Amino acid sequence: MTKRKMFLRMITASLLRRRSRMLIALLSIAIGATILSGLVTIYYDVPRQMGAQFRSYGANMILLAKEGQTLTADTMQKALDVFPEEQLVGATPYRYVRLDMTSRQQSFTTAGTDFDEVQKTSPYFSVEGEYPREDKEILVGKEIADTIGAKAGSYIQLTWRPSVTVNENASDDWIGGAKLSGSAEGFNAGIVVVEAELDDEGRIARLTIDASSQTPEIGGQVGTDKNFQSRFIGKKLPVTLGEDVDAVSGATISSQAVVDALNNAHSITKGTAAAERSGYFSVTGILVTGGEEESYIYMKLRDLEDLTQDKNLDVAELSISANAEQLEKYVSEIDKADTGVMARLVKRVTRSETAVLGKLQALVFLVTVVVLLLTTICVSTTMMAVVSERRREIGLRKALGAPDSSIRAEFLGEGMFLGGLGGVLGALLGFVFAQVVSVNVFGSSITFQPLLLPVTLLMSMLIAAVSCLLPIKRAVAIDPALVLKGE
Amino acid sequence: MLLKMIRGVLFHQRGKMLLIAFTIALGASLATGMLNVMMDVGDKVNQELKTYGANITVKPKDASLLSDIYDIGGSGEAIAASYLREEDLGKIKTIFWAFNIVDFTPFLDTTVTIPDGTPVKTVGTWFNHHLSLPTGEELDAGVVGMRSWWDITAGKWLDEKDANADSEIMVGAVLADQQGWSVGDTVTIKAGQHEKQLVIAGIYDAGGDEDQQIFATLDCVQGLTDREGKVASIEVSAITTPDNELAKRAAKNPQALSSRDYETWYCTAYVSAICYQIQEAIPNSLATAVRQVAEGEGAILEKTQLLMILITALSLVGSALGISNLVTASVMERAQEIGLLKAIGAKDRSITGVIIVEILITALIGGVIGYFMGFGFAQLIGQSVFGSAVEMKLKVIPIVAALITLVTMAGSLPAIRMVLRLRPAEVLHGGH
Amino acid sequence: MSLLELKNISKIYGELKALDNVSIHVDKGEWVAIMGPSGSGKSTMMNIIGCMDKPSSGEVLLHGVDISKESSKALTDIRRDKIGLVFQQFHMVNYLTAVENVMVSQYYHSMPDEEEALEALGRVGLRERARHLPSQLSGGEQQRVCVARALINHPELILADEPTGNLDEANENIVLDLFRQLHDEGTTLIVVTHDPEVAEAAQRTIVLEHGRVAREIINENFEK
Repeated sequence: MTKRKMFLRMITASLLRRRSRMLIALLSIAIGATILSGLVTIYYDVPRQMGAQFRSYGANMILLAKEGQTLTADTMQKALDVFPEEQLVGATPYRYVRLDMTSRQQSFTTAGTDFDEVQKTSPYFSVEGEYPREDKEILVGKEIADTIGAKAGSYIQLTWRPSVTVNENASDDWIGGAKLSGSAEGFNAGIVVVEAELDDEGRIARLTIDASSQTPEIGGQVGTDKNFQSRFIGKKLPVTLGEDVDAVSGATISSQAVVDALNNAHSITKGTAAAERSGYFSVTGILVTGGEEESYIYMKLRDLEDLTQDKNLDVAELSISANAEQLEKYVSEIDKADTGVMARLVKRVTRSETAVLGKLQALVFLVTVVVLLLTTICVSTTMMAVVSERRREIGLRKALGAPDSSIRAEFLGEGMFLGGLGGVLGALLGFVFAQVVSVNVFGSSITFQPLLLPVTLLMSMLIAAVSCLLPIKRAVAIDPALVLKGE
Repeated sequence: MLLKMIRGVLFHQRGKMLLIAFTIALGASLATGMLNVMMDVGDKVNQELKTYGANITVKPKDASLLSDIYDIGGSGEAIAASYLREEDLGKIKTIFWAFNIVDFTPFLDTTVTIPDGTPVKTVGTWFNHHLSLPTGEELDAGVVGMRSWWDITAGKWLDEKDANADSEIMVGAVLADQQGWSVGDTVTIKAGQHEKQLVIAGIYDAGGDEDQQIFATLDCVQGLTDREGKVASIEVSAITTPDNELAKRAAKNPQALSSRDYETWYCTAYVSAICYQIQEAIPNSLATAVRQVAEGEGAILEKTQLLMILITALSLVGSALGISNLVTASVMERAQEIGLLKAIGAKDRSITGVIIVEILITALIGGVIGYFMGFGFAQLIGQSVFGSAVEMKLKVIPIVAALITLVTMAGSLPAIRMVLRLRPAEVLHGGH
Repeated sequence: MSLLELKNISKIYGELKALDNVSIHVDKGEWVAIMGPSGSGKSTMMNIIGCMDKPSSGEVLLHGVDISKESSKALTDIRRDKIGLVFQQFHMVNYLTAVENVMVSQYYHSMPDEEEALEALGRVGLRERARHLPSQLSGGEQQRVCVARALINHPELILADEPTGNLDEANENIVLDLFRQLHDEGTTLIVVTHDPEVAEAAQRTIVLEHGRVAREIINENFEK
């Protein structure tokens, strides 16, 4: 029999025949290792999992069209390519249009969107009733619903009016006697509406301007200032602001809107002009958010496209589960890419998330450190107790002529075996624990960190070895005679 | 005799007993620390979440329909006629949950014309407005706290303590860029008949619509619009408890609750309860929860607390097993001594009694030391993570005491019974 | 030449002189008993002979070489190679079987050899109890295992401290018979005891009193 065989035989005997003590030591190491691997797994997973929770604050990035470009479903999809699938929580397209509610002579901002994505990017939306599922179903903001008395189940007729409408009697080439009307966006998205009659030579003969959407006393003056209106009489279309006519002082934007409305009307011929379209929509739910969304109507993007015959988007809201640094990186990637789309961070959300998430991670980190420290000491004391118990055996072995190094090797071998076994057990149990936490707290599973197995193993072997060494060192230092004599 | 034996053990086996006391102290400190942190983490994280801004908005009751619905109808003036009174603002801090109101600020906005003729939305608000409440409390409220995500890119926050604060403004970065304005410039703005010269105190980057706006003091905008003492809306940031089923029922109609439920709801910091109390305090107001903030807070708070509970549970189980392990080991180590006591005729019960009393005394010492250590750990975590102390929760003491007692008993009793089952001869014979 | 010689050995613990200028010698193959009442210095002398302690002054000559100044590591080597120990309290590793306990001694000395260990157990009449754990053996049996363990490495000197102190008469006789056999084979034996009957079994008895050699008795009845 070789020495090594005897060494193994002694350790096996010690492990098997001192079962209860060994179980105590093993249990203690396994607990320590469980806590180690469990907490470390949680610590690494917290940012990801918590980040997902923070997505309940809604979008943290928006996509817009670059100047002179358009945002469409296609370009949006291209821009989304920069995100790894698991980080993209949701991407919601929005198209905002004002639609008239036929029965009340009022117009409301209506958003065309994708309701599946809305629920991902705006989880705080609370719907009394249900989200629309079929075509021609809409959500109505609470404020509108209160005003018009709509409930889930109501029907509403909404009409889209093209910004330019052409009088039925107008002739194809805009020669004399034609009547035309048009509208254009003025200050703060308010619509300015004009109606004009042209004389036989195609000059403006009569003009009425409705600028009630503009700020009274400022932009509103373009509707009330007779002097301004008179500047257009006798001018041929198209007209240029500043050359053909001067703006009302202090109301440049509203003045420009009047000019735009006239030019729009002029540039569109009768044959190609879009006719107004309308449809009946059934209300499936009332939207409550406590914010400005309560004054909007939401419908499917396709329904809105059917009304407007226009596939452009105004904005896309993205909810991305990533830290501030990554978000910045994605923004610059999207801006650089040649898709005509630019990205902006929603600062209020990203800023706060970085701050709070940082604190949370620091919290879990400190807790992990404290728990690990105390657990390590706990494991050590147990191991020390188990080894101290064998002082007399150490004395005997010394008396039999065992060199200190050999005694150390035996006890360390045993301790490290226990450490290894406890480590493997603990690493697996820890993963189970982390998984239970993750499923219970965050409702999602975690990925197994393969690196954690060897780390836990090494750590527990190290802790076991160190906590064995101390009592061994003490026992070895004592004269065997004293140990053997003492009762 | 019992006392003598116990004293003997405590003094003669000092080393071993110290080890046990030490381990119990560690376990107790872990339990104390984690329980204290767990119980306080909700408040702490809630405080942090205030960086998301207001979670309640207050508007005049009959103006809660946004004026932009009536854009085309042209009846905007009629709606704007309704305002809250500035003098009522302090009342927010007198409600039942006044302590939970972290910050609030009023808003009054108008559109002004800047020198190049462009209309610009100008918001009048408080920055760091000093309030002396009838309760004797003093505080500063305003957008400095409510817009924590703003970057001041040049200059500084407008300071209401400056004598000329009412002739100062803060300008959004986009607007300042377009107009080529910089800090210290004087801007002449016109609103109706009024014209004012205002100095730019700071330029901010808000990352949103506010970047194209001007922020001025409330007094300044009130003067511009002839609306002295009036406020269009108030944003309130309050620490709230995540909604539960009761809060959801109450939010629909508090009057429909049974009087007991009503009491519970009213005395819990649900966002709906706080809204309700604000409405009671401020005449003619409608307070609504900003769901985007309230929901997010609820989700994060709930998850954080649950996470801490589970980690605490793990560390409790860990320290419990650690302690009971060591106690078991120490009892088994004394098999020979116990065998000897048995051999000289000691009754099982008296042996058990001696050992239990010894261990409990040790546990008491360790537990007391551990409690204070654990409290230290909790403070360490509180100070280094949140920069504020963790509140000392008294109910932690009985929990920790019960836990330690239970754990030491659970660790020692089976071991003692096992050792007692052995025949004395066997123990004295082969055992070392 | 004597195998072991103590020259003017003293051992002082603080005020107490456990050994006071003691000189003895033991020849190769000799069987010596050291006797004395409690506190006479027997155990101290045994520890010094067994290389488990060093004298405060004086020389310990083993094969004429002074080992009293050696390091504890060197002493451990000497103990392992030259001395077999038998204790009053038996001292077995309680989770190892009888044969494994013997093999531990081989393990530290040279190479474990189970056959040889079983043979040694056979010599003390315990071959069939070889696979038993200490708790399954009687006191006498345990002490016999210890004797087997002491002799397994063929030490030049077997040092026994009260080997029969915890044994009944029957077992005492078995152990003494074993010593006789060993003596016949030429092993040097030093037995520390306070039992006159055990001392009488030896060739020569050194009586210690108050840390000094009080007298030496040559056992006339010793049967060669």
